[in-house]
Amino acid sequence: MKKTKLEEVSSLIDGEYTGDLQSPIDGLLKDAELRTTWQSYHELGDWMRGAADESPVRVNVVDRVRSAIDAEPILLFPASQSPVVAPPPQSRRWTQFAGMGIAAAVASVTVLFFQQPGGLQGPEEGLAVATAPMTSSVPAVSLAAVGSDTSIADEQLAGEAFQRKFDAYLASHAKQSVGHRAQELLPYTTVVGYNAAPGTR
Amino acid sequence: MAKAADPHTSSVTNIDGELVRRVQQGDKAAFDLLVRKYQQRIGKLVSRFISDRSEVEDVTQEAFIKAYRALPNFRGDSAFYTWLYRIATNTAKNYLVAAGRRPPRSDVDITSGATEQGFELVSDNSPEGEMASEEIRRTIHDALEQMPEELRMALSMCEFDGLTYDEIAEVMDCPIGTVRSRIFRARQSLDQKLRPIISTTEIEEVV
Repeated sequence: MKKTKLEEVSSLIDGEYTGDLQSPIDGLLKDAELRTTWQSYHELGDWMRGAADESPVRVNVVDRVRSAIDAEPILLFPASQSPVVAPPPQSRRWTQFAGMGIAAAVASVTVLFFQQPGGLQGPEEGLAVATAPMTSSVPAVSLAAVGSDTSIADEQLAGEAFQRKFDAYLASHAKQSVGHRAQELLPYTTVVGYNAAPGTR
Repeated sequence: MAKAADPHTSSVTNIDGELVRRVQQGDKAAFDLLVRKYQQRIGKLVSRFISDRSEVEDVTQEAFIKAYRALPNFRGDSAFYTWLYRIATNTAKNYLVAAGRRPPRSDVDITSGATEQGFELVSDNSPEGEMASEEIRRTIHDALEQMPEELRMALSMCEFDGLTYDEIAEVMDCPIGTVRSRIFRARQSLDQKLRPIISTTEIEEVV
């Protein structure tokens, strides 16, 4: 039984443990001999790879660090704010989805705006359509970043600032688009309209 | 494909990640495993800035404590060891400044320990340290020499060449379970010979 546990430690060190990590880590935390083996095997590897040699000293600060940390407050993250270490590909995918969400929102603005009957409504009406999907898209951008309460508050502020800037951009863009389109289309419409009038030919 | 010679492969990082997650959720004992894992490497890094043994231990300890305090802000954007390495480097530099000594102008390379300018920061190793290092190296060398070839090969391919168990199984033409067992037996054999020298016996604590 003990040999199996020690072999587990060996494969754990190599990152070759197949299965849920919880069980062997629990074992390490409960068993002093396993912890000593964990330390010893790591040090052995450090020496073999040359990561420990050439050093004038061999340190052992385990007990000192443990004593110091015992006096420290316990770190506790809220459950909803589970910390992330070495973000897995899935997290990056969420970021990509967030980007795609923004792109889709912008695309929907464009499509919906240009599909308005007459196409010459005021920019505010067009924006009302545009901002709706953005409200749900913006928080998704911050999914990859998980931090303290302060950083979350900062992110929210940054999100709001971004939202305001983006709204202003859309308003400006819509205004310019309308004006530009009117300048381009109106003469054409005028010509066609007048030319199409009965009795002109 | 061979895993990186540096041990921070993704699967190893997952173990670090799991330990960090536990510490962040209030499990102080999990941090103990990270200290045990990285103390020699951090000690070596610090000893490139500071030559005095007791000072190296103090600064190494301080670096780990700072890392513990900063863990709530660790978001996993980099590997835990890379993050810890930066903390240790800054701790060593700050220590030198506080002691009125000038820290090096360039950073230490994370893999080789050499500075960007290509020289070692501290080269005046004590004779005692050199002797101890030499004894450990010789013990490892002798133990590997005396070991059955299949054990030596499996451990060497794992530690020196950074091959995965799958790759070693392919090279040695044996099942992966055999590789797992051989590497473990090789480590066990080395550990028995090395432990009296490096004396990693711990003072038992109740977790």
